[in-house]
This record gives sequence, structure tokens and C-alpha cells, in this order.
Amino acid sequence: MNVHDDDHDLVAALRDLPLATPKRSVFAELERELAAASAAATPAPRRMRGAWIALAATFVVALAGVRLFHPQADDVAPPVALPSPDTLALIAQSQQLDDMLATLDARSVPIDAESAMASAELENLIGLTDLQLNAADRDDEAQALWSRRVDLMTRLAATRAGSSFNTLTDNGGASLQNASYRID
Amino acid sequence: MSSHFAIDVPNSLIERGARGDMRAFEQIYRLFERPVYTLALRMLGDADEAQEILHDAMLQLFRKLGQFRGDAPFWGWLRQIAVNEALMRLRRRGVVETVDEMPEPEDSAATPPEHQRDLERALNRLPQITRSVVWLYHVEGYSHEEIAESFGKSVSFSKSQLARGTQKLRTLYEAPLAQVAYA
Repeated sequence: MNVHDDDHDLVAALRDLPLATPKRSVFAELERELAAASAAATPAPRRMRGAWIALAATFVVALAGVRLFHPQADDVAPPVALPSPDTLALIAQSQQLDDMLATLDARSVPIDAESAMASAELENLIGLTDLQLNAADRDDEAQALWSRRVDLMTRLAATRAGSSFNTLTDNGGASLQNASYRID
Repeated sequence: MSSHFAIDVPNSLIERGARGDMRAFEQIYRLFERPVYTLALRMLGDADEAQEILHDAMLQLFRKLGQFRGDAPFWGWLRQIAVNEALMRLRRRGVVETVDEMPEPEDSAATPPEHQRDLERALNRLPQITRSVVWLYHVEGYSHEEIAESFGKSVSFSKSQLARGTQKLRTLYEAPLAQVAYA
């Protein structure tokens, strides 16, 4: 550090200044805003994830174009910043779960209060994940978020479907029955 | 490291926050509330604006928490978010002015000693950009290169602001405040 000898005392005094305390905590305000944002995001998740899904669609079209017009695909540089196959698979899986939940919602099966609370909490977490997806600009970040979204959607589907969930899935339904979610 | 930000945060807490766990986020908020507020107050010199920066920086933190890669200390990452928010506010103002009044602490029990209040007043008399450079360099431990990058300026800019700011701060701090005429 290029501090003049005369400045050492001054710098030490600056560093000794105490931390300031805000007049009020803004956490409650933040919590309300985030809850409102997640609630607004949850009813229309497709809209919130539109950019990523559009990007995925672009990738598929671009890939088809490469195969049609450039048989020597090995010579073509891969697209930059497009979703990886793993991310695309997670997006597709998430959409399937969206459809499955829409089917369950349409059946309007009554659920108990405990399941309703768990569902509401899971929907909030899905909404928050959608918010974070909007800010994700790298594939590895998006992949982790999509993976989390699929996990949360799976748990939500299991909570909503109750004992009938086995009949809605080809496999894995039994294990989803045991998916636990802790609200702490 | 003299920065008040230098707090180790468990990875498990960060991971829970990234998963949207509000209780984990609250713990992170409580750990860094005062460091973020203090940094914003030193840079902007206004308690209300510092409060807004605290809000905006924490909101950014929550939204970007999933992007934290862990290749640098978490506190340094959060500090840069706070610095960027404060700098955006300074840029939006478009002017660099001095502030003569330092907000007085509300709680008398927390009132700092007289020499510290004199130093805070002297610091607040510096132009905002100069004060920000002085604070980031001397207290937060930023290098001239890091300051230049944050401000979008040259390293020479950082060095000259620091030299002039430190000299002026010394003058303001050591001279009786009533006799100081800072232009």
C-alpha cells in the first residue's frame, strides 16, 4: 500500500471508525418483496422462464439447421452460450411436470391442510427459483437452477397427488411418494 | 485485512440461501447488514441513501446467490455488489458535491468518541468520489487497479484521487473545523 509515513495514524483512525447502524432493518421489507415476486411468478411459470425456453427452442432449430446444411458438422464451431443437452433435458422435464401439475389442478382433488401448506411453500420456492433463473446468464448456473426446479416440482406433484401419484408416472412414482420436504 | 466485511460464512448457509431458504438469507443479512450500510454511508454520505443501498444490495445478493461460485470469499463478492450499487447511485447523480453534515447517531449510547466524530465529519467534507476512493483503498483494502476497474477510470485517476483526498482529509481532520474552508 502506498501510504505516506505521515498518513499511518490517519489510516489507523479511519480503520478504527465504528460500524454504523441503519435506522431500521430492511429485512422485513425484502422478505415481503421477495414473497410478492415469487407469488406473482408462480401462477405463470412459463412466462417467467420464457427466455430460457426460447433459447432452448433456438438451439434446437439451430442444431437442425447445422445438420441440414452442414453435413460435416465436426467442422462447425459449437454455438456459444446456448443450453447444454443436460440443461435442455431438465427444461423438458420441467415442462412435463408443469403439464402433470396442470392435470392434477384440473382434477381439483381436495388435499389436507398440511399438504396445502407444504404446497404453498413449495410454490414459493419454485417462484424464487424462477426469479433466479431470470438472472442466470451461464449454462452451469441455469442447469443447477433447472435441476432444483425439477426437484421442487416433483415434490409438489407428489404432495398434490397423494396416494394416486403412482398412477401418473411411468416410473419413480413410488419413490416420489416418499419425498420428504421439511419446512423450518 | 481491516474490512468489516471479512466474515467467514459457512458454505452450507450460502447453499441454503441459494436454494431460496429465507431463514438462511436472513442470517446472511444479519451478518452483513452493518458492513453494507457503513460502506454505503461512507461512500454516499447520506443515511437515507445508505439505507436504500442496503436494500438494493441485499436484493441483488438474493437474486444472484445461485451464481456465487465460491472461487473467492463470499464477503468480497457481496462487498463488490454493495460497491457497485453505491457507484451506480453516484453515477446517476452525475455531480460530485460535498456534504457538510454527518448524520448524528440516534442512540446516544452508540455515540463515538469526539475524535471519531471529527474524523467522520472531515471524511464527509470530501467530494463523494474522492471519499469513496479514500475509503475503498485505506479501509477496504482495494488496490488502485481494483478501484480503477470499479469506477471505469484509469489507475492514475485512483492514485491522484487518493493522494489529494488523503492530504485534504488530514488537513480537515487536524485543523479546527470552523477555520477550514474547503473548495
